[in-house]
Amino acid sequence: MHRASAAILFVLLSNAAVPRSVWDGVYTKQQAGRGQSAYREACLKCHGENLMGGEGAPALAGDEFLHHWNGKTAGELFELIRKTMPSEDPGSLSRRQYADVVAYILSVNEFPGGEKELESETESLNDIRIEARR
Amino acid sequence: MNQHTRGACFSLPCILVFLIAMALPLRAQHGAKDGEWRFYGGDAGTTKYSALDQINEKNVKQLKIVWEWKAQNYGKRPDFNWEVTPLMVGGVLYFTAGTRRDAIAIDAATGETLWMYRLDEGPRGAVVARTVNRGLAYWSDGKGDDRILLISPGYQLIALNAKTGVPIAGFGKSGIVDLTEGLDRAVVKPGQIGASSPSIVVRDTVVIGAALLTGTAPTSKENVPGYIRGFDVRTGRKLWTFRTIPHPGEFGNETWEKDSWKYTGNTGAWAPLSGDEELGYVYIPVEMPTGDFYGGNRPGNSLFSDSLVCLDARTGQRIWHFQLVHHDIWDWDVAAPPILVDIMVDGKRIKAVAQVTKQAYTYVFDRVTGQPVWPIVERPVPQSDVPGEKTSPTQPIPTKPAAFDRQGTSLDDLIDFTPELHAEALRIASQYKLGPLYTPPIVPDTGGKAATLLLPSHVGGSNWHGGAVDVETGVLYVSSVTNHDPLAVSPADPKRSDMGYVGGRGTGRNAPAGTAPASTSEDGDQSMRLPTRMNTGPQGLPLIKPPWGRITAIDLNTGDHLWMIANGDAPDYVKNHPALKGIDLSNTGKPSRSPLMVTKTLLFGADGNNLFSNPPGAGGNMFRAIDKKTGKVVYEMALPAMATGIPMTYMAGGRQFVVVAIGAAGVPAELVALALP
Repeated sequence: MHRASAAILFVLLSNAAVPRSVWDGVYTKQQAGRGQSAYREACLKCHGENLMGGEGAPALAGDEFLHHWNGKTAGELFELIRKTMPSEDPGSLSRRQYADVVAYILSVNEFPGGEKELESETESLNDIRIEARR
Repeated sequence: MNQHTRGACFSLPCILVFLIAMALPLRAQHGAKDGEWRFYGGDAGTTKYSALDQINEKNVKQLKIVWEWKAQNYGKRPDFNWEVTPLMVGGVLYFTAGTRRDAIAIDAATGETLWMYRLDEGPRGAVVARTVNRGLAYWSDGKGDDRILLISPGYQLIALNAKTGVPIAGFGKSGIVDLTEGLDRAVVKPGQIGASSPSIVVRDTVVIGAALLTGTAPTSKENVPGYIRGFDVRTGRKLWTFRTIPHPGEFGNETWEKDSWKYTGNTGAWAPLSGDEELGYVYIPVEMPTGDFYGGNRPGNSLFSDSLVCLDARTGQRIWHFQLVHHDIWDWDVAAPPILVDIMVDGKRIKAVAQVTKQAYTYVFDRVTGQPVWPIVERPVPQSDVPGEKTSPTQPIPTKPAAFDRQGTSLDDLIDFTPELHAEALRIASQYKLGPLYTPPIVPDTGGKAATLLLPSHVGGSNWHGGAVDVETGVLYVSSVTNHDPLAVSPADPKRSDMGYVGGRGTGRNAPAGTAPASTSEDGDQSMRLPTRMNTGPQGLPLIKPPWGRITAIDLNTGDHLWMIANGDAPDYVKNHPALKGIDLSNTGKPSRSPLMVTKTLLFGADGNNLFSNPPGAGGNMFRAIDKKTGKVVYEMALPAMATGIPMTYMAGGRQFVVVAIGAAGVPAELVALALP
């Protein structure tokens, strides 16, 4: 990659106002690991070990999930989870933990990780489109 | 297929028991005795009956909250859905509390905390199969050795000194028995297996069930089996294991075709257990095997899944069993505790057991022999066309009592509050395959349909709340929800599951897919909080007509229904719906099961709430006293939050108390005690 194009890419990635997609490495592996821990404690019992859903809990990975979320934003996903989950105590995790869980969901859906963590401000996350296919 | 255990009921011990039972004057199940509540369900027979009568239809209006006990700081995070029912022995209440499931003793008259026991299980307790807890078991040798039996979130059995809360040194290893050992699997990972309901102690034997992760879309067809086990209450020594998935040479192994017994798991008993100390029997409500909606990996009827199993408490020997669902692909676990009651049918006294179910049947048996009290007949049912699936050609249908909730779906069931809503409901329903009970799930888009519309769904009918029975009259009270759900099975992504097919909600336009309607109020307003699980019907409403929740009284002496009432009025999200302005919604019932308890004078219930209310939180705060004969609500009062556990009652200091666990999203769990001034 040319230095110039790398610089442009850097500018693009570092500027939250520029639209990005989940294919642009919007979370880090470490963050997804933290998200996995939070998921196991708060989400697993309903959504399943493989994120495929359970009694009254939709799948968070796979075709059904991607079909539903295709074209929406990471911000919408973040807000839905933050406002409604865990169902018995919505909003009880920190913003950072919710962002970690979204990072984990992205990783399980095989969107690539990157160098920068997923933000926990909804506005920034609204710029990240969920695209089922690259 | 003859469901009865051939041979077993003609064996010598069984005949002897039968003769002895016939010769002795029949002793009724008494309910909770002496103003105490020694078992989760009042007595070992889970009648939830108490002969107390201080609170009656005349003075019930004076009931007041006299103390509250808050569980907020037990566990790292508060519990909001506390399904507990305390025990009461000798003026002390014992219960589990909080997300760590601590064991607690409090003064029954004042609510003052006496002791607490907390076990930090580390990683073992951090990721668990079930976090909900329903309570404890109690045992006494009658000579001062009184014990409390706790099953931890990480699936360890702990015996505590009831007076001090200190583990009993001579029980297991320093008071603890590891329940993940002896499950015929090389490795049992943390979180694979646990328990949500308490054990039961019968004939000095602690009998343990099991709960596993839900199986809508399991990672694998392989799982840990939920065997039933008996432990000596004095030493913690394992006395027996009853394999709910039998090995070769054991009864029923041939019902697991293609060696599916080798790897299939689940088939535990997660609902509360019941027992008969006099007979020495325990009654086990067994759940389904691995894979809630696809059985292609476990061809056959899979005994003892979905069965009511009667075991000798001291030996674990099977006395009888009856499979209620063959080759389950609907997630119709036997989910309620069996109810033991003595009845008189056509002039004959019968020691009976009644099993209420998710599909809204009441199966009634002679609990000594396992013979159905009224014929249960095998009837042909619709067959699956999902690749690899082989459904049972018939299912056992009780001829009596009639179902206590609606079964099967048709266009006649759709909501019709207004012509517009009805037209919309018809459009939505046309996406789905409709049919009678036992219509199997389909692969989405088969025959142009998105999914099968199931009623009752796997979260409909009855559940762990079960029923309560008046031991004096033999009248059973059961609460249920009329809860439908689209159900489909889709090919599993091999990267995530080796199941072949896994459950989902199909491709219907209104299929709840985790979306929520826009918030109409601040998060703090319980009545309008965001539902996490939408209804399938028009504009977020239920697709089918009310009542959405009900209580039914069934005379077990005749098998006849006596009355049915809706469980309260409409939930707030329906009452406040703009499309329903001006429509009478006073008799729709809340879509949640009323937690029932019965005394000499009254039936007690509540709007109720549980995770499976649709949407969650669609219960309400009302607590009710109901006339047992007519179903008329005698009195209702608002509690600070929704009743999440089954109420219980007892006498302390000459005063009758009613105690119930409450909570709601955002309202941490607590116990409230009601009494007369």
